[in-house]
Amino acid sequence: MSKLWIVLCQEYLNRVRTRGFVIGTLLFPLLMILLMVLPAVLMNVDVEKPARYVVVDSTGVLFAPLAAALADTNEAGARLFQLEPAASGMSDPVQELTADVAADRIGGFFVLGRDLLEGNSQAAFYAKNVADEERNMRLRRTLDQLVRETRIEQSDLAPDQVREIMRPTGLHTFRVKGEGETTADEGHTFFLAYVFGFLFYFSMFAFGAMTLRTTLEEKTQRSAELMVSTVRPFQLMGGKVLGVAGVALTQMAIWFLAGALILTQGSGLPGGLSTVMAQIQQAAPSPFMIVSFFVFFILGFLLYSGIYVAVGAMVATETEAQQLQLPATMPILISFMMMFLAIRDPNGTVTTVLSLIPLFAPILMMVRITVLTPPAWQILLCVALLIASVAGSMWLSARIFRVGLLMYGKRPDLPELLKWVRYG
Amino acid sequence: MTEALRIEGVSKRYAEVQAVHPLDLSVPSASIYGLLGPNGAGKTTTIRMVMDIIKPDTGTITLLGSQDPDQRRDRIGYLPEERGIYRKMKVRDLLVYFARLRRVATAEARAHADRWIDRFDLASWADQKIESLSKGMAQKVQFIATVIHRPEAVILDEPFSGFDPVNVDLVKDILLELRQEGMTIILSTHQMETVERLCDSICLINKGQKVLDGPLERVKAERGTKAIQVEYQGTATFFRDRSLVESFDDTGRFVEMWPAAGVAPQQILEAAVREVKISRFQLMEPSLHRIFVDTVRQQGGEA
Repeated sequence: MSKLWIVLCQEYLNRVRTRGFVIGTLLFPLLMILLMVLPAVLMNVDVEKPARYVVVDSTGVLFAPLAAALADTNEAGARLFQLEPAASGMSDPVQELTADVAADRIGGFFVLGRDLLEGNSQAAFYAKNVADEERNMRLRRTLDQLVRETRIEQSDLAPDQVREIMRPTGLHTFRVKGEGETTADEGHTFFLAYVFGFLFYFSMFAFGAMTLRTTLEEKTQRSAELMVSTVRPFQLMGGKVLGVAGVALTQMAIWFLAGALILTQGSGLPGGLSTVMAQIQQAAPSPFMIVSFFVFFILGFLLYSGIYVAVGAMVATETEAQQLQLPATMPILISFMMMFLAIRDPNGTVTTVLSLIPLFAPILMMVRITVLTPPAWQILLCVALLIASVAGSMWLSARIFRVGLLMYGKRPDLPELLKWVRYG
Repeated sequence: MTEALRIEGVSKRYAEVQAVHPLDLSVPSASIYGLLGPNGAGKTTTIRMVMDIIKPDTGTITLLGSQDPDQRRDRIGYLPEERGIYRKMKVRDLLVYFARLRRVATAEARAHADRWIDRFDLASWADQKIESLSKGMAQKVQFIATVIHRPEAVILDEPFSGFDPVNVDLVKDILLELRQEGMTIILSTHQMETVERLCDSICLINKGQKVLDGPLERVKAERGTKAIQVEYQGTATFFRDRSLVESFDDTGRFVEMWPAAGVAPQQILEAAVREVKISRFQLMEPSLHRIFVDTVRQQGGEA
């Protein structure tokens, strides 16, 4: 049996057997589901405490409909917006009510100008916290709607007629695939692209750090000298990198299989989960996407592992490693941010060029494949470039690994590093 | 006599310091070879070059008949001066792992591991992680990892440091056994008594240069004169014979003397038995310590 294989198995078993791996594999999907379900749940529960709001309604007609429109209640049945009309006879309502808000006697207040319906004066909302854009939007939309309805009521048009005129179209989106078939797509492609990108991003953070640490451990545990005299440095590095890659792939495979199992078997899940489930079911990736994901995942993983191994071999302490870890992860971070551009304009020049760059390809090309399958030659070119740079990254880091592993003490500068590369 | 290791013209220079001057060495097979020298003499650098940890600037190294490190990796064992091992692994797993890395079949590796674990009295620790062992026990594990694959040669950098006297003796016994089985053992140390009791040949290096080398007996013969100590009962005059004894120091029951040039201890013994009843007759080897200190001092270094 090859020594590389023995090192690989050892590394793999050492890491898969740890409690950390089991917990991470179980906990991460739970966390993700929680993150997806939580906003939906929170929207129903609403963390806001019910508060009294005063309405200074100078129009004289808007208070009642506004109170009716903002009738949401929390789980206990209490109204979130307890609206009440302003007491009459205030000389300067804004000033007095501001004082009330400041003293927490009321949650906030609305000021509806006298000529609001004619469009000649403004509406205003005062509260301590106006950063909640979701609430602001809601208030804006509600008020707009009310004003519009009131205006129509005051006009000669029949309400039914108006309702007909105002009925929303409800734009649906359909995705035209290469074969000319169309599928309904209400944001599922976006969701899927995001999941693929995020999985790679997350794995590189978790497992990239692991390759770095496993290299560093050879130094901190002082086992490097013994190991290098036992196996060729390249076998040691290769075994370690592939062992960690195996751990990452195991985790991915578990998640994909569990996902497939839930999608096929898991109807009738409780409550909020079923809506999320329905969405995921709609978004189920095609086999080509899954294959592409694993190809790009493995190649990208190896490319970045090369960088991490080199970093691990260069530094001497955990602290130093953390300092260098950030610049090493920069390209992943950048491609993760670029992902949204790629989703919006998957075949644009910028996206196309960026997605061919090996450091960005694992996320960006994958997003393009998910959103709008790019020409085959681009995918092939991309994979070829990736393979070439994986080879380059491995070659380079093997040399740095060989020398760096047995160096203790100060971090090398660039000329020193070049010497290592030539020497190795 | 075959050679296990041959070093020819090997040198190494670090930025400012010539760590090893061109050095020639020859280590016979199935012997114990001691590499001696004061701190900073270049012992570890030499060993690291032999192990292909660092590349020499000049010269060739032939170990077990091969100049290619990849050809001989599985046939040698190495105990680095810088001790260290995977702390998260269990004792038995680690030993099996290292045996397998040197191409020992798994079942055989397990058997070897268990035998060594017993030998070093580690049975109750076999399933513990290295990090839970004491430093001395971790040293034992590392020593086992060096020899578990029955290598043809082992290179041990300061093998006795970190062991208590009981375990020093255990390791010595094991090394003698392994030599008996045909293993070549190269070790560096500055513990002179160990060398005197263990090594067949030595090389003394100082400041990166070889000062003397060869079989221990020859080194001692060349570098020091043997003293003879005799405990006796009766009236003795034999040591006053200047043709036999160059100088002496007599206390009436005990005499220490230095034979004249060309006189064998046998002749003195014969002269002695004719006169007195002898209760002890001993040839005092010049101690290696003496030779070491004298030689290093002559070279102008500090021992």
